[in-house]
Amino acid sequence: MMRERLNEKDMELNDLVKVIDLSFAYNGRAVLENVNLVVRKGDFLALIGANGAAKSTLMKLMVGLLKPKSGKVMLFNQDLKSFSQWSRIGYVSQQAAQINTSFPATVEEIVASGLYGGLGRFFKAGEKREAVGHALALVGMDQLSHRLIGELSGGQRQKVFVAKALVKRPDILFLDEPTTGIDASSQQEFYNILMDLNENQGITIVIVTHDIGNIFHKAGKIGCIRDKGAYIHETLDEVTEEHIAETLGYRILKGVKEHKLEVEE
Amino acid sequence: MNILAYDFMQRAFIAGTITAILASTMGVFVVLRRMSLIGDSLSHAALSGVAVGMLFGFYPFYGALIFSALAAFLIEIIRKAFDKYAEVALAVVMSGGMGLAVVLISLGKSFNADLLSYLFGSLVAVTSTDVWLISGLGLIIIVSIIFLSKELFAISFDEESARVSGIEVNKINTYFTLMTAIAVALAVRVVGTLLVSALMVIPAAISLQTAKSFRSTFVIAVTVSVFSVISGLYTSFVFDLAPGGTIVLIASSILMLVIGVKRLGQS
Repeated sequence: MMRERLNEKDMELNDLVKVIDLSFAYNGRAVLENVNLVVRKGDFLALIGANGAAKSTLMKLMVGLLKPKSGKVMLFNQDLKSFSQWSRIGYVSQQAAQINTSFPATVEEIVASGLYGGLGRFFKAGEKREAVGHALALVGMDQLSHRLIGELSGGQRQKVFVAKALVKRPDILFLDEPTTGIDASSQQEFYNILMDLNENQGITIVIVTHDIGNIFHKAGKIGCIRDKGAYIHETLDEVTEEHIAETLGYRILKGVKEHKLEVEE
Repeated sequence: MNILAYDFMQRAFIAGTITAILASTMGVFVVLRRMSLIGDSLSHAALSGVAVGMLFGFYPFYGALIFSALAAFLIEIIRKAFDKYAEVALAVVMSGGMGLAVVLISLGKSFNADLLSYLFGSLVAVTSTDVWLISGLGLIIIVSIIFLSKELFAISFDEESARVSGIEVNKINTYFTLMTAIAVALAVRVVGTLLVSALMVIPAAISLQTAKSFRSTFVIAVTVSVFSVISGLYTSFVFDLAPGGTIVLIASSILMLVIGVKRLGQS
């Protein structure tokens, strides 16, 4: 009895995000209806969907940037409405990719700004430098810390934004379409970094993308966002070509199971 | 010739220097948030406040402060109605403020000369009450904005991720808007309605051309601004020119020079 309860408690602690009967509408038009999903510690969940399938909307609801019409989101078993442990969450927004390249700040300053919420603003210079250095090292950008952000390539900038999200050493990282506008080889490198963070740093990852070809063999779980709902496939083996075709509206030419995808655009 | 021997020049230098620091500090954030024209909108609204003060017989500077603050909130409200077109709100409030000012001015026919000092600024006509107001409010704003500069930086860079990192974005935005409004009203007294925006935007623009980090952006903007005000005041006194205009001409010459030198360096 005692043991069972303990297990239940353990299970709960492992549920980092719980989306419960969540609905959302834009100007009265329902875009998500009764969505349920759980993200567990250690997951690498990719949310895929066609343009306009509300996958970014779902992520914004998960991190509290939007308020649900009904239902709720639990983060670390705390209702999002009263959530306060923001340092446990890292978020790479879509906005970040569209920043003005003439923004006058160095890589180091930008990564440090990830510390500023809550008590992070009171960090001593030494602690701050260490946290920033650590985060930049995780994404392999520690050599460029004094460069202006505008001098970097799109792929390098995106890695800096991940470092900014990692600087508080969060348990979970949310990324909203992070590879938009980045060349193919940088995308590969970017996904490899995410895989490394997930496998070697134990960081749970939730990523929104339409880039199924690249993400498929990196993510451990796939969530298909379609018809106002989320369909989570706990293992890659569950995902069929039909699932992907239904979700994205186009067919994958070669087998999903071989983990070698060719996408028909 | 020691121009500081004159009381009115001492007041002008104190008020001018504080306004220079204030306008350029706010200006860096205003420019980064793509709100460069907010100074124009607020200062035109402040002008209608000046006219109200003159019409109803209270100190026009107070009218400027109140109307500038009201206009700031009006901008926020209109901005929400035009989600992706922030500049609509700025244009509406600017022309609305000017319209109101013109109507009020035509109602009170006698105060045209006094009004000119608010249109073009009259640093040398700054009273000791003005100096106290500018110093007191100015220092409060400068200190609080420096205190909040980390949060403001994060918000200017990426508002969404600032929210997710737990920064109270709405509260800080409201506070910043209100402080911008007060700063504009203070600057109206010094450089005038028509030139406020220049004092906010030009130093920030120069620093954007030259800065190697965010910290240096501030240092450059404040330095350029203080240099322009002090040298502008001195020049205008010696050659008997309008101080506000002289200050802005010096600042914009520096900007053109920086852009020119940068171009030469690139070619």
